[in-house]
Amino acid sequence: MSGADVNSEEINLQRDSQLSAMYDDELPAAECELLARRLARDAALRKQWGRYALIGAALRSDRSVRLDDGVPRRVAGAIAGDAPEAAVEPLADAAMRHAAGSQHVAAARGAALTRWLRPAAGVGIAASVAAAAIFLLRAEAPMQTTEPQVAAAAVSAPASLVADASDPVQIGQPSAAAVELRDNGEPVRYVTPQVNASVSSALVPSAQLANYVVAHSEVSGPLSRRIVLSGLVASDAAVDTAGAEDVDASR
Amino acid sequence: MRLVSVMAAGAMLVAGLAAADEPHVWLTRMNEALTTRNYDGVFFHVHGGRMETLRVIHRVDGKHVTERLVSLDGSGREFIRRGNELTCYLPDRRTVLVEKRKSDGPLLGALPKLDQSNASMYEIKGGAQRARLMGRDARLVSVNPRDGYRYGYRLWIDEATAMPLKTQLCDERGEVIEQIVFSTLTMPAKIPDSAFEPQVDTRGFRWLRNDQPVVAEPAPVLWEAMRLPPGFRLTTRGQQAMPGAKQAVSHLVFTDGIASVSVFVEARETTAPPMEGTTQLGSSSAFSTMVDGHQVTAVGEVPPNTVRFIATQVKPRGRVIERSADSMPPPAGGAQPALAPTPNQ
Repeated sequence: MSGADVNSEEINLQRDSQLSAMYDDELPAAECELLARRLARDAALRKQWGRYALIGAALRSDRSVRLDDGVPRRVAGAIAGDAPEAAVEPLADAAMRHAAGSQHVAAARGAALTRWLRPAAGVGIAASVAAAAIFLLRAEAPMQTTEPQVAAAAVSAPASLVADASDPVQIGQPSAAAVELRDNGEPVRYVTPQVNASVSSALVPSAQLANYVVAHSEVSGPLSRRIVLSGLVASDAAVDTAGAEDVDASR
Repeated sequence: MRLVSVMAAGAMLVAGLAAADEPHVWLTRMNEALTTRNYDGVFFHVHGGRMETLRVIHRVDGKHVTERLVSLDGSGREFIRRGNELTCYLPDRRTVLVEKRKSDGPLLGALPKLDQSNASMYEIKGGAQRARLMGRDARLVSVNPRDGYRYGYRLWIDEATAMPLKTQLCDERGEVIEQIVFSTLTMPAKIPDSAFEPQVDTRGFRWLRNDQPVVAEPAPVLWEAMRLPPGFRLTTRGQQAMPGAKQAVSHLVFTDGIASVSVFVEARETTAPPMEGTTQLGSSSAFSTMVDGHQVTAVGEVPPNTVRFIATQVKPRGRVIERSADSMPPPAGGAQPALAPTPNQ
């Protein structure tokens, strides 16, 4: 193994441990935010977490997860129902031997995965796995109003960078000169990219529409309200405030 | 005699245990937990091929509810509720929306809750089925829609706290549309005020509030839906201020017992092009159209066809002769709207 390979593996191991720590609620908030952004834009990293999720899902026999990987399929075949937690480590080791070529890496990754899977007070194996499983489930979620390639682009590049939030929203990557970065390389500001009009629905969401959704949430039940507001907070559909500007200026 | 008493007590115990497994019991407990408990959690919101990490902090102090919902890795939007005021920080649009409602307003009261007391359009199952999630024991409850006019839910409800650890929103075929999965969840006894401070620097932002004085329409129109999807009924209607709107907006609320749809009718006074058509905001659908010089918009956590159906059936019935201060009650004993055909028709 070359030095570069070793360095790469070390970086990967560090990321493994970071994500594991994040789900165990042991990662500092600043690192959590950084890691979440990295996951959002790094397809390879998400795929790796997805493999973990498959293993965990197989352990839990979660039918909502498609088992399309050889390792979890074998694991699933070996286990019926929820696995006792004592069975976690050997299965994890087997999965890691399959996934990694060298004994060194397998051992190190086994440690990382054991940490990932280890039970903890309140938040343990299932928490980590359930959280990771969504990386797979999202690929199975039906598209609503956007075409698949657009949604995929949003996953791999969720943030367009702008130098100043007062600038018009930019679609795609702006010039490098326009991007103001922090010391750690993260942008100072970022916005969710606007959905391309050609693939968006006929109605351009507006501040007025956001008002309606918020007002509607007030007459929704507790769970529905959470869903409605979460959808608005996380919505990729831009809230176009051009109309709001008109209204505001008229006062 | 003693044997009979023991047998009766045993039967009551068995019945009690069985009742505890009933899905509506778990749904009731979940509703209570969501509204009456303190909690602080991070969850993943998965919709339409996208995932976003959000944090929710919820505090109940007597009758005062404070809540903060913040995007951790996307738009940076934050929603903060303090009592009757909901403030929406939209840093990606440099805008803050403030929605303030009256505690005794006409639109409160008949809030739909996820139970089976008035939800004939759903099949509610589960309660006894256990599952493991987040290392905890959970009960799986399914709320399945009987047609395509509404969504269903699959809920993993924590046995100890009755909090929904995982929520799936599903269509009538059971396909998952949206998921909310908690990765961490704590239920602290006390949450400091500092937890509800926004992290958004709002200097230079545009603030839109709905507590500005609004001008009532000189002769407001009474709006009603000519037809409704099966199971839906008008529960309330009122006039309310909207952030940025100069005139009061008519707000009609329809529910099937679980899902709800709001219809907003606003007089058009601007030269800007009207909103027309369908859009999605998360799993919420909206449909806008113009009727009689008014912008009619239906919004709800229902399929797009449902809001389209309702919005296109809302018509003016006539002028209101006497206008109350803030509300108009729903027609008592009035003619019920006709039912809609099946979604595929």
